[in-house]
Amino acid sequence: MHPVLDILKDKFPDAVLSVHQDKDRGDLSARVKAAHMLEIARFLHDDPRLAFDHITDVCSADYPDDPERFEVIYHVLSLPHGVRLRIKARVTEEHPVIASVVSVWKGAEFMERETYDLMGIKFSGHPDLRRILMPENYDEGYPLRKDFPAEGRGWRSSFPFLPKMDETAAVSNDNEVPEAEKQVFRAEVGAGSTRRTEELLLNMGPQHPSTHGVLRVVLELDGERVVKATPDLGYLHRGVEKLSEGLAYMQIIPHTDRLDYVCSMTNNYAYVRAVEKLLTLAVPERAEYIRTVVAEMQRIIGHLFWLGTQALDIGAMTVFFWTFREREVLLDMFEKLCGARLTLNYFRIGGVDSDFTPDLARRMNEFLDTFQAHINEYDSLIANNRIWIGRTKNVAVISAEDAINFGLTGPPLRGSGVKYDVRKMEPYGAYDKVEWEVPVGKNGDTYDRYWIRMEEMRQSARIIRQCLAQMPQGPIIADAPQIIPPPKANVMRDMESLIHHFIIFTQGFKPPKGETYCATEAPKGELGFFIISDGSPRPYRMKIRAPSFIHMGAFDHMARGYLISDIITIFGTYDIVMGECDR
Amino acid sequence: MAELALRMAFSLAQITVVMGVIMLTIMVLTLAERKVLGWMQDRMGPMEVGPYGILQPVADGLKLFFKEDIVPAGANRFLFSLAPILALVAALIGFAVVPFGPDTTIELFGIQFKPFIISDINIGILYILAFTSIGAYGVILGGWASNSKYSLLGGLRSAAQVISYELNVGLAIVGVLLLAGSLSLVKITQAQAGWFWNWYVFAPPFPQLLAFVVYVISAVAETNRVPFDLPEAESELVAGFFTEYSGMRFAFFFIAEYANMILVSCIAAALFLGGWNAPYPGTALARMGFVQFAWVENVVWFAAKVYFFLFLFFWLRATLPRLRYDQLMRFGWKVMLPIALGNILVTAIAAYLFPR
Amino acid sequence: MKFKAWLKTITFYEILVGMAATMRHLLRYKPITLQYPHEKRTLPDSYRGMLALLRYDDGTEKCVGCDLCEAACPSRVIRVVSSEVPGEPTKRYASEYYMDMTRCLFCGMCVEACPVDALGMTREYEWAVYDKRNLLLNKQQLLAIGDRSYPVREKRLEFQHPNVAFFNVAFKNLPAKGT
Repeated sequence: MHPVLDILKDKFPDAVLSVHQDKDRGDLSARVKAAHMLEIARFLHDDPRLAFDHITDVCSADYPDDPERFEVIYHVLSLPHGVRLRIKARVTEEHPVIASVVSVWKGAEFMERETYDLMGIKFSGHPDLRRILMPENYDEGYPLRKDFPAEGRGWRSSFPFLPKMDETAAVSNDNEVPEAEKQVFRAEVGAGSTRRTEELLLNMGPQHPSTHGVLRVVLELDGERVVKATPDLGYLHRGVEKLSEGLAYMQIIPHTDRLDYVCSMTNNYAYVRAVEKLLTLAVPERAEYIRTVVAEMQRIIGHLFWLGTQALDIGAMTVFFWTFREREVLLDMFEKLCGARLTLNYFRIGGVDSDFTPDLARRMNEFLDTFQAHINEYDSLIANNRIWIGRTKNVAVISAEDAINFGLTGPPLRGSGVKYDVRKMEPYGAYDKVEWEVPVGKNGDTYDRYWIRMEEMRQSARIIRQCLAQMPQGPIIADAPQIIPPPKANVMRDMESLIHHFIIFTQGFKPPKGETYCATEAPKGELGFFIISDGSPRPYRMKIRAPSFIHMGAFDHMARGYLISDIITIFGTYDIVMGECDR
Repeated sequence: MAELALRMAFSLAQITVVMGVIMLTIMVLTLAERKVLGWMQDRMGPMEVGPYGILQPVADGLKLFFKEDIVPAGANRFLFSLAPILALVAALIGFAVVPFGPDTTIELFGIQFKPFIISDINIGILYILAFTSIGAYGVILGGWASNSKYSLLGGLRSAAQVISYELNVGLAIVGVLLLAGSLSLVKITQAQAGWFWNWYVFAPPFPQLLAFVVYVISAVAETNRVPFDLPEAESELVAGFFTEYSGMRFAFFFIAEYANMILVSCIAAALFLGGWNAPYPGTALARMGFVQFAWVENVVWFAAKVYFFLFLFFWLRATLPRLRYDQLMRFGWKVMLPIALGNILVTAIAAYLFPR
Repeated sequence: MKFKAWLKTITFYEILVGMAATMRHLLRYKPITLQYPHEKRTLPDSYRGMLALLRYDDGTEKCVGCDLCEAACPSRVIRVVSSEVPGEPTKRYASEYYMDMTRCLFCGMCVEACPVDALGMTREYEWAVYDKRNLLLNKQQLLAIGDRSYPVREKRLEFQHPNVAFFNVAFKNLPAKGT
């Protein structure tokens, strides 16, 4: 038994119902009594032997037939020890209440709100328990419950709160929003300066040139200074999690493309890895190398996109076009590789779709030869520019403790000086076979995060170069006829292939009963997929741990006290993509 | 009576020509800006309307002219309509005192006219400063009258910015005025004749280089251009004070911005870079014997200097990010203002010790 | 060192470096954009564009109406109505075939699923329409797309490989031995 589980069991002999270490997958989990959740959470966080300082995710699952219907699932991570733990607590349908852990991990605020929104579990002691992804006045129930139909409750026209297409718009010159609705966006008393007499609520988004999609933030202002920033998410909520409960494992891959549509390769990768972990399926070595190469290409693309938009937000428009020039080259390569530019659908469970040809490798190497010079070119425009430095240094500072407490990952966490990278901590793909470094910042400000992403692009180039040099020959997809469709050429040639082909495409494969969480380092941060399988060909529950969503939880903390212009900088520095944030 | 009528007719003709040239320049500028930005960003700029997109300004103008004019609910209609007019008039009226060419006089029907300046008043530069300040009212009123928070914030930013940088513009000019001993743009330009080191930006023994830099930076700020385009920062305030404007009213603000750019470029050329003077004494055409056509060369030199500044505006826009509001104010008051004041002090002492 | 930094500050050194960079691009003007409707990119053969139904070289439809594409589709774009070939009770074909392209993800799952390669992805992408209903394509439209995008057609399956003939139990059309 893992020492963490022992410590937990010894400390709470009554509250911990059972502990489990998954032998095949290495996941640690503990079932606890819901009444003791807060106590256990605090112990997990504070005890130096455990030090679960980072909250990865909070989600829930619905088991309608069980007496205690809902399971609230917490994923926590101990950064000092590099251990992940899953805590599960059951609550009943009649009394779906559990203590909020926001006082332990501040990052749990948004995660718990999402759990409340989609499953209807109430978190007592939560500071602001409102719906987050669904509309605020949505009263059709809780979408992730199993008794909520996957098709939803009817069409657009049947929802009273949505404006009808054929209805004339209500004409009203009374533009004032009711006081009650404003209240949630107001800061606590005394947050602004003392000379202030009246607050100014500024609604930024969802239609605004630089909110990176359909993000809405309500700012309470004191002059131009932000007193409180309330993100309002969910304008792009498509219910991917609910949707995937009705799809076979293979069919979910194209849907993951649409999460973070700027970096769909890494989304594919994260999902496919989670399923492979669930199946405990080994991937051929060449496929691993190809995956690493395309994931790093995607990281470069994502960071180029980020650099362009961040610079555009701050007002330097030329950088945007220059970065897109390089991005195009890489997208052309993707197009050659898998036939699409953005929604790639390139990964397959057990391997990849098509081979990384020598021609592509040559083109990639040519690109890498000039890439360094291009990065220097961007730097010549902004890196030392006094205006850029003024706009990014000491803006949106977050300390390492806060960053960890809010569950930040990726560049926002590393910018604060925490050396946490899934690729180093739990190496996958070919990351442990090549040499590279994790860039880490010092001050946790926007400039450090900018520097980290620039450095990550250089490191990615390094990784790709080594991978291309080392790439072995061999198959690109695993040989597992129960799971992976046979080669197309064989389908109409031999009977066995034909049968497997038909079964896999009509029914899908059946993974073993179990559950697993698998984290992958996406350009935005840690993208995790948590899959519960009940042995059927469809996932029983799939939870996406989207870094953009979790980073938005720290938005208010990071935005307070800065100016309106800095809000835009913060949008940029998170590298937020709403497709992933709202799912 | 006949003389007055004749003078008025001549002035009217001059105004028509100047306005025509300015409007044409603005049309060219809107295209040139997009083209130059495009080329610097590895793209082509507008290419669809006409060959290489040269008719794009016409298409834009037509579109804006025929676009629906929207007044937002709750807006103050009177001020909302007044603001763009105020901005445009203030921007265009300054050209009345700008000398576009040499200070020659022609005699028509026994009355003397100056063909290259509409009105040579002896307080020309003061007149321009006064009227560009009024332009700020258009921006502020437009921002306030729109009944939109974004517009209001844009208008407020603009008010603060124009006040701060108007001061720096004025103080940067003072050095030149001390040296020239006049407020008339014609006299100032005439004093810079000869070789190019006579231009006030280089003029020994007290070059106005610092004042020139302060002037250029403040002029960029005053015209709300990148990197000082905070009042209309499109990534923060959508479009700042003209968020709610559309159609022709929007076009008025737009034209006013470009007219202001031309105006500050004209002033920079006239005050610091010798105005219509060539970098060598006299004119090449005059030396070749075409004395009656010497003015062509002068006008070309003036235009070249103005276009250099306009290009600089585009170039800066392609290169620089935007400042933040507090940084802008700090820069204006803590950096630009002391430099400008120091320059006045040094120049005043020097002008006293070495009278020209 | 401090003096150098100070000198750089007052001369706006790094801003001049940036301006030099933009000026360099202006002077070596090499546009990377395409004038889209006039110029078009060359797409790779593997491009995942508009879906199409294909035919054999003798003009018969490839589709055998097996419904695999319908099952494989992640967003339920496809509807197949399968029926018997008149006069050949062992052979089936799709009597009706609909694709709701408004929902298509262009993921290529259906093409992968099709056992007889009756579906193909073309290099067509200019399918913007004014009326959404025009994107509900029927069999004839899909076949027409296939006809113009795949001019070179395959031989009938049973002529391609000796084993394949085994599946095709319509012995009437079985090639003679030795071919």
